[in-house]
Parts: sequence; structure tokens; C-alpha cells
Amino acid sequence: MTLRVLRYAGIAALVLGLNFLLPRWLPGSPVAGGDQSAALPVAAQRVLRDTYHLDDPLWRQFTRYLTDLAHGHLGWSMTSHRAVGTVLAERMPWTLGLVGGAVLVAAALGGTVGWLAATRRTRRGARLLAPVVFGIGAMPEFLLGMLLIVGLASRLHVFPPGGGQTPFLDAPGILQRFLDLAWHAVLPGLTLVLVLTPVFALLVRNAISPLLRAPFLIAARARGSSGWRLAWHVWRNALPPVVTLVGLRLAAAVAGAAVVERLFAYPGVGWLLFEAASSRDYPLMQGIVLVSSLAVLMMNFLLDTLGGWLDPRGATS
Amino acid sequence: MITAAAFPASKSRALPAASLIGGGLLLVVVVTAALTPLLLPADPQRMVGEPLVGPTPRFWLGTNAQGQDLFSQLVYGAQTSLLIGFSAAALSTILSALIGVAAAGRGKGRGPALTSIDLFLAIPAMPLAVLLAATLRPGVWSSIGILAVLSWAPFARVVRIQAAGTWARDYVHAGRALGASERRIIRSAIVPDIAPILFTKFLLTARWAILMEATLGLLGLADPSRVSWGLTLHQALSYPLLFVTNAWVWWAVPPALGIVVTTLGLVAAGRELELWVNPQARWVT
Repeated sequence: MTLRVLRYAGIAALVLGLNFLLPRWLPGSPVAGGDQSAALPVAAQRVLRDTYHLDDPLWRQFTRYLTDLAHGHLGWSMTSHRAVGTVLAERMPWTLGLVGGAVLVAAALGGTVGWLAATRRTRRGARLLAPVVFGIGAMPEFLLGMLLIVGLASRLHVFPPGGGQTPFLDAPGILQRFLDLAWHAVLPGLTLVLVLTPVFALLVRNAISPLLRAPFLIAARARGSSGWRLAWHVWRNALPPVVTLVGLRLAAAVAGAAVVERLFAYPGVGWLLFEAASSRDYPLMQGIVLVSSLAVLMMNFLLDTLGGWLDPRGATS
Repeated sequence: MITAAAFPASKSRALPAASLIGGGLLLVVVVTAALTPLLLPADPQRMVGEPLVGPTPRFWLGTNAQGQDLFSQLVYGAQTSLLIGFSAAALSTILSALIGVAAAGRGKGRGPALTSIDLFLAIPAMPLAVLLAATLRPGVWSSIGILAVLSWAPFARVVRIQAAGTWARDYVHAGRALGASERRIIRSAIVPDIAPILFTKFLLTARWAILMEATLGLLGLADPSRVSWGLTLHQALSYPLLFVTNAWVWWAVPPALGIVVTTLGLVAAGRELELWVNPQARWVT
């Protein structure tokens, strides 16, 4: 346990260091810009250097960066002129609701499809369902999103083509506001569910299929265990990879779903990342990378720790 | 009594239809990409006609809002996307193999290799891709580098596990007792064990890299001076009236379909190629 904590602390330190060094290693400078001929006047350069302490030795800059982080300052967004932490906190609920919800729905749906594909492989319905789901899984998410926009938004006008809420809604009641949010989340959410469901279905099917012929299950059936009890035996054994995938997808949700959010102009972290990249807002980009990396790292740690309980047959090194 | 009938002579298996169709489509895309200079009816970056016209005998897929020929963009984009996809996959596979073997080995490289695998597994791909693509000078080579850097780590872990299994074999112990060097053991015992899975990794990563190139392009991070499927999609989605008018049919759908055909073709043809390279894979499915 101590060893594991130390290992993850080491990786977290490396992530911090990389996040600090990467923009300083890469070509270009915040003062001179990429094009030397269009450089700022020397006086303006000095002001910028002084403001951002660019002339300090590297170790001094690094300690300053660590102190700021310890105080919760992620930096200062160069385009919106607000603290990166504030901007992130504004967008995070949108993304967590949209992507997190989609991951959970897709896990439930994919689990069902995978179960049916593994256990009912002779029924006609299940035999048709599986290829359809896996066929959808082969399509890239932007194509699915585009088809949904074209079909349901711009032709039939059933759902809004983009945005997270209706702007300037008059004195919305709680119910009305909730319905408005849900109505806007349907298309991007559906796209994500369509993309993620096949992943879970495939995993569950592959985890369950070999178990169906396992000696312990045949023995349980011979003892006369009920169907529910048999199903529980199978699920309990197929659980570790499924929990791992759900966990990793939930952690990755912190970084948002850049493509879907861009397509539907959904105000989440993925869209923020796109905005930050297109305006070259480095502090904002770094903040997003740091927060999402730490989320994935924490989830990995959690899964590692839970691993022994999920799969008591002995964790491998 | 065991008769000869118990061991039927190996029959040449008929290729499944899906593999044939997938392989055929993939071949069409590859040939198109290879013959781009011959096929190109117009410069994909020049304004050659009226903006936003539908298909005509001169412009097979019509033109975009800048009056550029969309068919030329599709053909030229195939070249860029395949070049980036296959090169990134090759580089990524080499990185996975080298670092995975080093992490399982007995030499000095073991510690750093293990740490770097853990580090790159911990950083989520999408934000790092955006950060790198926005900071580096855009171009084909930086795209290849970014995609390779992002995709080697998960498979390096697979290579490490496989190679560690080989290291524990009795014949490796015997070889070491007889004084075989680490280099020799890697060459004669470990490489044959990891070679088949490297091929699978290459196909999977090529598919992922072609999708990822389009995704980064879609986010506006593709090289604007070289037409790729991602760049065409980005320009289409930047056009505010794309979905309000019929512009999307000729502008956004062809590159999207190109990506789908290529990736599906890779999956379908890849399975057959894999069986040909590694006949044992038939029994694992």
C-alpha cells in the first residue's frame, strides 16, 4: 500500500513537472511570438518578462508555480482575463453531467446488449442486435453527431442543434429549467451513448462468453441453483474489467468530449479546450491538461486499490 | 484406431465476404492516395469555380464556400490522412516494442521504461494532443509525432507482460545459464513471441490515427496549408449555414465516409492479414 502511494505520488510529480516544462521546452515564447519580425518593442517585452517572471532561473519559476498550485491558483486565462480555476469551475458541471451521464447510460445499455449477445446467441433478436450495435461502434463520433443534427435538428426541428440552454429564458421555474437543460443535452448525449455503448457491449460479451462454459457454472447448474443465482455468479466474475472501464471513462469525462461538444457547441470543458487551443491560451490549456491528468491518475489509484476486492484471486504485479 | 481421416488435409479457406469488400474498399483508397498527382483534376487549395455549386461534370462533388474543388480535396485528403495514419502507426508500434521490451528486460533501461509507461498511461490523450498540436509547428511530421507519442504506452504494457512471460521460460533460463547475452535472448526468444501481436497493434493504431487526425483537424488543429480529411471537415463545420442548406451533403459527408470506409476496411482486411501472418490467431478468436 505504501509502495503504491509512493509510486502514484511519483507519477503525479512527473505530471506536474511535465506540465511545467512542456511549454518552456517547445519552440516559441510568450513574449516574442512565433514571428520574430513582428516582435514587440523592447520596453513592452521587459514589462511582460517582469510580470510573468520569465527572467528568473528555472528552479525559481518552478517553486513559484508549485506555490501557486498549492494555493489553488491554476494561472490566469489570457483571453477571458479571469482565473483558470474560475473558468474551469464554470464549465465542469456541464461536462460532468453530459459525459458522466452518457457513460453511465452506455454502461447499462452496453452491459445488457453484451449479456444478450453472449447468452442468447441463438435467438433471432439478439443475433440481429449485436451486429447493429457493433456496426454503429465502427462509425466515428463526428459522423454520428452530424447525422443526428441533420435528421433531428435541422430537418425535423425536434431538438435544438446546439448550445446548453435556451438563452434569456424568462423567469424559469425549476422544472422548466431542468426540462430545458435536458432537451439540449439529448442530441450530444445520444451521440456519446451511441459511441460508448458498443465498447461496453463488446467488453461484457467477451468477459461473459468464456464463463458460460466454466466448470464452476456447470457445477452450480447441476446443484440446481436458480437462474438469478447463476446470473450473479457470471456477473461477479465479469465485474473487474467492466468496473475498470467505467472508472477510466468517468475519469476521462473530466477532460470533456471535445468533438461532440464542438459539434453541438455545448459549453463544457471539451469546448473550452477547443477555444483555448484555437486562441493559443496556454495557461488555460495547461490547467485543463493538469486537472484531467490528475483525475485519471486518482481514478487509476482508486481502481488499483479496489482491485484486490474486485478480483480476490490475487493481483498480479 | 486413429485414421488419416482424423487429420483432414488443410483446405484453403474461402475468404468471408466482409473481408473481401473491406479489403477491396481499402485498396481503392490506398490506390487513390498513391496515384493522387495523376487523379487530381484541380489544385485543392485554389479557387477554381463558383462557390457552393452542386456536382457538375467539371466538379464531381461540387465546390465549397471558397470555390475549391471538393473532389480534389477528397483525393488529396486521402493521401495526407493515410500518410499520417500509417506512419504514426509504424512509429508507435516501434516505440511500444522497444520500450516494452526494455521494461521487461534485465538491463539499465528497465526503471525509466517502466516509469515512462506509467506516466504516459496516466496522461489523458485528448488534452495532451490538443496541447501539443497547438504548440508545435503544424505539419505532417508533427502530426505523426504527436499521434505516435500518444498511442505507444498502452501497448508497451502488453509487450512488457508478454516479454516478461518469455523471460520466465525454462529455455531462457537455460540459455542464460549457458552464457547467452541479453541481446541474444531478446533476438532469438523475445522477438518471435511479440512479433504477431505487434502486427495487430499496427492495424489498430493505424485505424485510431486516421480517426484522430480527423478529430484534431475537426478541432482546427490540422496544418492549414495541406488538405486532409480533417481540414476539409473543419472548414465545412466552420461554415455557419452547413446544416441549414444542403452544403453538408457534398462538403462534410465525403471525407467522413472516406474515414469510415478506410477504418472499416482496415478492420475487415486486417483480420485476414492477421490470420495469414499468424495462423494460430484462428484458434483464439
